[in-house]
Amino acid sequence: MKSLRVSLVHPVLLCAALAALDAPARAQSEAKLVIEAGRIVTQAGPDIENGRIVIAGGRIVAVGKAEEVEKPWDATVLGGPDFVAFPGFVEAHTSQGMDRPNENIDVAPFLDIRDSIDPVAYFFEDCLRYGLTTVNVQQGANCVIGGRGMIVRPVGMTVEQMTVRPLFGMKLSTRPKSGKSRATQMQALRFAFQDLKYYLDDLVEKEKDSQGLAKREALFQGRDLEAEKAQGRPMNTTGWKIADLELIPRGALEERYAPLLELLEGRYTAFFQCGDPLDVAHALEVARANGILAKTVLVIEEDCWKAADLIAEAGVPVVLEGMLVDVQRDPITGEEIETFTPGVLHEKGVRFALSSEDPNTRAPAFQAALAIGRGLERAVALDAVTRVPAEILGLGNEIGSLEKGKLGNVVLFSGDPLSITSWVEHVVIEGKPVYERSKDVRNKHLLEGVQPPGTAPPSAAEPAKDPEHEGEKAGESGAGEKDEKDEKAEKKKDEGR
Amino acid sequence: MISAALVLALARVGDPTDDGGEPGAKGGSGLALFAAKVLACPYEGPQAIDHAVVLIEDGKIRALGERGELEVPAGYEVLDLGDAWLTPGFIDLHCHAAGASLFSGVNDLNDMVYLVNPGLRASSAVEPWVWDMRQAIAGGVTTVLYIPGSGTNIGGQGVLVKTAFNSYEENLVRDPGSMKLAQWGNPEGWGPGVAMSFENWNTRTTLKRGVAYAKRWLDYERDKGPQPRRNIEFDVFRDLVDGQIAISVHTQVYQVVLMTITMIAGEFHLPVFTDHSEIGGWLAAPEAVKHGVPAIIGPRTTDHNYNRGFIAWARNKHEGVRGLAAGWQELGQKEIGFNTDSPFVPEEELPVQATMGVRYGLDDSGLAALRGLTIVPARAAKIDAEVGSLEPGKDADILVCDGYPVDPRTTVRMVFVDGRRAYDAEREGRRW
Amino acid sequence: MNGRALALSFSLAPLALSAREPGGAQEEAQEEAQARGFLAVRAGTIHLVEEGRVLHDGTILIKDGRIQALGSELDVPPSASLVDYGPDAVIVPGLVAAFSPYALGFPGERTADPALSALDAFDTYRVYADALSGGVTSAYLTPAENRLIAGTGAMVKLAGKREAGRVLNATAALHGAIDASARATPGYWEPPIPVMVDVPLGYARPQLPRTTMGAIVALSELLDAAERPDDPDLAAEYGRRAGPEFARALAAKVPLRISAVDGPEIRALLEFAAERHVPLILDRADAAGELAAEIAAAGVPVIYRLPYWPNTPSLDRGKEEGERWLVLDVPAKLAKAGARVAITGSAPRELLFAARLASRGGLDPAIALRAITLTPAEILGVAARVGSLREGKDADLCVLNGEPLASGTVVLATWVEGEVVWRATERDLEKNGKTGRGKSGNGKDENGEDENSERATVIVVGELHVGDGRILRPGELLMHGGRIREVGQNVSHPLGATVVRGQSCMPGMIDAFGHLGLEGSRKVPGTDYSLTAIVEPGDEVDRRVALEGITTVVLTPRGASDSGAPVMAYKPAATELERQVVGDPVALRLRWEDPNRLKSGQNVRALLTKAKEYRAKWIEYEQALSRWTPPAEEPSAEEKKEGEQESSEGKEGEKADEKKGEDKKEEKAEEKKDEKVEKAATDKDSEEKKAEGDKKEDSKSKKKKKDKPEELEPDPITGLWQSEGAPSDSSPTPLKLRAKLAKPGESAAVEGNLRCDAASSTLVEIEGWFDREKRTLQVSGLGSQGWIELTTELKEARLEGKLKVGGKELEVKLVRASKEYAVAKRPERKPKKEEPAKEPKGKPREPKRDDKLEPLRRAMDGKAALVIEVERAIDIVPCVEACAEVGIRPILHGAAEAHLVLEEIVGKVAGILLSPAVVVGSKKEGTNYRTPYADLQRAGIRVAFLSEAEEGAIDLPLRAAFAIANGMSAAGALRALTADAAAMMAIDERVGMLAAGLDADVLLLDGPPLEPGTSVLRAWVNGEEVEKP
Repeated sequence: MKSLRVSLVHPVLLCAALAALDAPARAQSEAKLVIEAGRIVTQAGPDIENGRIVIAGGRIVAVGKAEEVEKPWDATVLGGPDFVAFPGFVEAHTSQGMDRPNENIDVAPFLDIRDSIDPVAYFFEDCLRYGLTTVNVQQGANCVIGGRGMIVRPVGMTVEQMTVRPLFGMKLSTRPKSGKSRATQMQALRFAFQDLKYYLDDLVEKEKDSQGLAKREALFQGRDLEAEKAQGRPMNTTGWKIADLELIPRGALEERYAPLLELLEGRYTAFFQCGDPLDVAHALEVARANGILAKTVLVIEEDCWKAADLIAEAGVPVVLEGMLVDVQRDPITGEEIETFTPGVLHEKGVRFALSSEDPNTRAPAFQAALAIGRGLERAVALDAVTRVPAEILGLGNEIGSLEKGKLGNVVLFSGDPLSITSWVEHVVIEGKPVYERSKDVRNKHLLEGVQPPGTAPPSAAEPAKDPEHEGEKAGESGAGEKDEKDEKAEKKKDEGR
Repeated sequence: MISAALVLALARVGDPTDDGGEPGAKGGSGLALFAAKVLACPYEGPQAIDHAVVLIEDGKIRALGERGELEVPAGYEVLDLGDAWLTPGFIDLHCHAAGASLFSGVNDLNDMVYLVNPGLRASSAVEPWVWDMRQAIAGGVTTVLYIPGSGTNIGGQGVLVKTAFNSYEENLVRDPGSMKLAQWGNPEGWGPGVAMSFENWNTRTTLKRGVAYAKRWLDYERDKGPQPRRNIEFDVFRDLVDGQIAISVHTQVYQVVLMTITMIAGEFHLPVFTDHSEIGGWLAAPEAVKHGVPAIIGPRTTDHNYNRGFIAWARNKHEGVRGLAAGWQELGQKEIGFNTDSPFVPEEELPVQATMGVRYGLDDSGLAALRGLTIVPARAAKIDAEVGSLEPGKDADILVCDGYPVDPRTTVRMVFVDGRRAYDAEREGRRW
Repeated sequence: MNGRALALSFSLAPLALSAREPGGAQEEAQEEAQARGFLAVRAGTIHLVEEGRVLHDGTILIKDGRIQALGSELDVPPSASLVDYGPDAVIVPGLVAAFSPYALGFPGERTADPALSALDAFDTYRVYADALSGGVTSAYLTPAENRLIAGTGAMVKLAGKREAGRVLNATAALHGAIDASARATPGYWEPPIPVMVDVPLGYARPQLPRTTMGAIVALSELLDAAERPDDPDLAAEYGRRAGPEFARALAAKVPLRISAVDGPEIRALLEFAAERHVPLILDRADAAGELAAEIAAAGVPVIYRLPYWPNTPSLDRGKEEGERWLVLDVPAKLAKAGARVAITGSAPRELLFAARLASRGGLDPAIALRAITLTPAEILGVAARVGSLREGKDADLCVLNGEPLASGTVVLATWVEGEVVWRATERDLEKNGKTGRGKSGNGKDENGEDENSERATVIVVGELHVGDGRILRPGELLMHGGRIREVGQNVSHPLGATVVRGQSCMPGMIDAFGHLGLEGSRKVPGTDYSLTAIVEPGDEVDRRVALEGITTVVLTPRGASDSGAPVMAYKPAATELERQVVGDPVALRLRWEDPNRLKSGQNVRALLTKAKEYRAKWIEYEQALSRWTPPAEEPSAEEKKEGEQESSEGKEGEKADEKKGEDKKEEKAEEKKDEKVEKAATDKDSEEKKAEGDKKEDSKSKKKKKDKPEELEPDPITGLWQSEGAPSDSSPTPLKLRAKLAKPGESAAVEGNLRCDAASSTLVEIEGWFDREKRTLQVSGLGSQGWIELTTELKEARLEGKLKVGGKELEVKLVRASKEYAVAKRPERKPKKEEPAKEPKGKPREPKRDDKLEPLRRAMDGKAALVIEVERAIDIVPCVEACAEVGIRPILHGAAEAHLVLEEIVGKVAGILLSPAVVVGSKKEGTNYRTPYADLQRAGIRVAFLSEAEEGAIDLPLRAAFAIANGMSAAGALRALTADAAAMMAIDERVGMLAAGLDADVLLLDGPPLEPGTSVLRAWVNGEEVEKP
């Protein structure tokens, strides 16, 4: 764990320590961590002045006033009176941290983010800087059916170490994929399910007139018939059904079709990408037609506030990506009209999470602050980046607040979490300190222009003095991509000011 | 006297028509090589012998030892190489130059119709006489794994050939020599354009079917099943599954190398080694060690934190120049080899890759650099029974150098392959 | 159009954006309407299209978005709210576009894709502004193009509530084409997944058609597939879905809408349809003309797209023999042959224009109108709800300002289901806050100058009197943004322009010397006094005067001091002060004669010479300035100043010194003058001093005796009261009250007027009572928004209380700005002379302005007038001479004996303002009466009519009529009332004529001007119609 904390500083040390991580279970069960803070924002009941959190085995075993909670003698102690403890932010939906957001294939439910997620992507590093401790990575928006995603913690050198929930969520889109019109997009989406129906019908039919064909084919293709119980089971969907599906061993379903059936059977949460309000209606139509409304989440953009009524009526939660304010021109008068989307959603009683999908608005704290600035109640805004996303990810009892029994995901701020002047000083994930600003070399690099040892590009021999100058330098470099983003984030904060 | 013997020997060595009968070679008399030092590079045990003699017979090494202890049998031609050092011939596991080349007008090494082509065989494209191989010999490279390009996820089967002779048959070490995988980095251009998630899914699906095919044959051989219909596309998996050959993977960038290891070794337990292994790949060393996947490095030898083309992907966040070999080594990888990707880097420059490795911090106290040119690749490609070290019974592929071959000042004087003198700088003129 | 009715129709307007919260007022109006239920829409002409019927002065009665009843003598339930578009307006059914691109997207991969539904791309959140602005209320959604069967088209409403009601017909047609556009369908390929060597890659399978023949074969095969859905070959060819979907469509009697361009294609289609008995709609059908008979015989309807696309470059249609060049007669031919034809244009918005093109091609207007309303509705199966005006159908209306197919006609408003969804003057309303824009809205165009913010008006009359004698028969005039834009026999009719038709029109008349606005005051302010300070935007009297035809008054105080009096020109009835004043000062008024004859003209001469010097100084300055070139870089202000003084040497230096000297003199002079001013009758400054004094006093008294109520001065009310502090939401309502207490020293009646924009757009006459004991003042009066009641209490010289109007109650807090009632003034001081900013070295310094001499200087430049009171011949001549010396052509005022010295003065005077006496006689001459106005005009001297009264100005037209009756030419009299008056006062660049660029002051008459029987019907000032009191 020690090594994980410095992971941002020196990959070598980090890797040296990976052996330790191979048996995380053991490590966790022993580790005890005490976090002390001048204020604890529990997100469950009132804040606690100078409180104490005890984490053991990766979970919170006690939260309360310092005097009431006693400190295990063998615990590591973190924080102090100047810190504000806050539950780790939760990202309900993002398409970053992987090779490429989308494949060119329209309908690809069989894809798995696991195959393209990159543990050392700068994105995850930034997540820590911004206090994100749980991230749901899904396929991008440019698809009809994009594939399956996963929930990760933004730390660890291998996907296994990062994994919180593998194979979580399926990405669908009613927003036209590039090269498609709305009509063709909807058609493709409907056909995708129709094709599944055709496929299963044929399968059952074949099975009936000549036993075991599918099974043989499965063996031929090396599909594991033992994976699930060899015999198939009836389709337990609330949508349409296929008669006698139980004749088919689940393992005999082709890889390209099986996941879609699992979606219908409620194994995955469906994340529908909606670009325009119109797409919302379409998404709900598809969800209803296939009986997956109960496990549907809409990923919407700012102007979808127009469809707020539909969303409320359907009772599905949404993830609001990108901007918080929808600016449009009245096509008749040409007059400019601003609408604060979270406001509308809240009014209509829609459960919504604020996403940091768009790099320019990455920091969830910033999103929440901005929302409050626009008049949203503080509690609602904070929930939108903690509790609500946690529930959307089905982790309501695990994360999103600091309560006994929940995972030990804690962010220590230098001040109020929403203040533009406060920093994420420490990040603790499941009881392991994984980030410490004082050791964040690249953060220093950006703010103080301090050149990390030995990183001077040949062009600039002596370390530069002023950050901007350095920023530009870095801008050309790989590390620079990141730095620029940081700068943007900074700018944002300034605007916030 | 010695010089006389030398002259005599020279007189008899390699006119092209010589069909053997030459000392050391098949059908010839035995040959005893005297040298100041022999770096035998066995996988285990002592690596060096001083004042050594190496006995060669029928193209194989019969014995080797200190001159005092090991006597030269009667009828053996003696060749005293004076202060010369002897080492095993070098092995390059990533070569596109042993025949139809990526550089020969038409690209004859990528058949891009399908995204995976396990059935394609590089052996059909071998041209032993190409000049690159003459150069290879001059650089001390005696064996290469000649493989299809990385245009598709599975480019086809590589073939292990020696570089010395003019005929495929003479050169052939093993066919198939490997199955060539390109994990990521080139195949994106295929068809409508693909990316990691589909490539990996597609590759996995292919491997699944290939392994299933091999298993069906195993069952059949164990009389446990009907005779499967032969599918030449998947035949190569039979060799893979019973461990005859390994999968050689074009892989670089941390995520991809990680994928190579976890998917091929982790999920399918197939023998595999990583080629290139660059651009942050070294960060995956712990996983590689865990799954016993050797790392063959090159032609790039370093990562930089500033942008050199796509080196930015190295995620080499906080260091300046990072030696790749050293990186792998520091993170516990013992099986470190080197490759050229010839013709991108000329075949004969293989040893330079090792040199650079040392220059950038590879700890060479245990001959890591030299082993990376010899025994490590030999084991990785599963030909360590024939080549890769100077041990009794192995092919007599021997380099005669005037010092430690990883030292850039050292030159190769003479090369024996299968006991035959394949290159002699003094006679033919030094080629590299 | 009746203003109030208009307002009502606006207040009924729904939100243009479906997703938009209405503003409060809006909602109420809406609810009211709902409560009343009935809504009656009126217009001069209503085309029902149903059986080609037309109503004149018809009424459409609407309830719940449906048409309840129609008719000319329809008894409208009293509860109904009325929207009257006036006699000029024409209403036709909401137009039906048989083609629209709104759902048009990429085509599918298959050659036949019936399941591709246009409805999927129907964005009910979008505002189809372009179509609505073209009067189109329903449209066909084209799913896609360039395929044999591209998909299923739908018919939808382009506005209305987000309910299913907006979909008129989900499966209006199977949309396709057999022309060239359908022949480029790429091959169909499904990429294998996974992509593996033992999974065949397959190949792109070519798809029909490549020729017309192929197209027909493919169509027939699709029908077969519909009959035999399981046929494996057909399924392989067209996909397993095509068959069943086709079957479903045919079972539902969905017609095939197939585009065919050339003769052979059309013929082939007709045969196919006949052979296979499928309902067919011919689309595009360029060549339908030649085949009109066959098409009619086959009973196949045609949706014809006119081949001309406006707003795009011309296209070369080919030079070969038999190339089809632009023809517009196809619909006419089809109609003639008895075929049903609907017309579409390049875009929904151009539908009306397309119909016009068709009628230009010989199509009967009635049929043309039907071809963009009822016919397409019938063809596409939605005639039950839209396409014509009939009881029970949707109340979708397109309101026009003229006959639908007339060239100048544009859309005024568009209605869908009983609600206005678009109107030509949206932005204007925006400005007046009459529509319910969302609270989030922040309209940009608050300022009245914004042209777009006002609606253009076109006046079409039998005879248009320009004002200078010219008459256009017929005549048209376009006014917009407060100005006249075009005048001619045929002017442009911009989009949304109101068209007003009438007998004749003329420029607003000018009272060449009047007092309207003095409100009884007899004060004579100094010549440098700005009369602008006393005028107020039009109150009821002003409007009445304007409606009698007098739109401009050259205002001058009653009488003049010996130093003269100021003269300004303004428009009493204008609504905004900024645009109310035409010129201030426009002239200086002097008196020549002196009781002591010897002194006559002295002061004038003196003034003129002074003015001459003054002007000379300016000329010198201007020349110097023109010669002067600025130094390279400016020395930074302070420290350089010294240096400048010293270093200035040689000529320049001297000049500078001279200047300084002069300036000194000037300043002295100034001071003297100022003193004089104080003494002189100008009450302004003293006035304010007094006011301030009172304030001080009040504050003092406050301090002294807190507990004891300070005793009141005899008259604590009379004077000008206005709200303190900048008007904003927080501080009290801006309000201005002029009150006069009948009996000082006791409780008494109070009268006066008040202006409060929040409560009334007009000046409100008020009456009330002041209770001295309670110290309360209560007044009330009728404003534009209804009865206004002001209840206030007198506290420490402040009036605090409430102002009630309609529903609302406004808080007011007034301070007494002045105690003078008669002449109301703004608390506005002379701009105090700020010392000149530090200027670069050597720059010529500007002479000091002298407000007293400015008018004269401008007069010498011909930019202003000089009015000199002079009667007798012996004075007139020297007076004119004196002026001539300084290059002024004066206006003689009075000039009873001018006719005796015509030769001497002709060409030397700008004009003559005669006495009211139009006809002059004397004993000597017996009945040989003279008409001086006519005589002077004949002699080539401008005359004008002047009232020298306030509202008495309204007599002028009659006086002119009387002059005509006594020998003056009608044209001359008109000139005297308009152009000549303007010219002599040098305000002819603003008023006096109907000419492009001048202010839009226009009178609409019911006959030739100045005819006894003729009266003013409507009047516009600055382009705004003067509201009838």
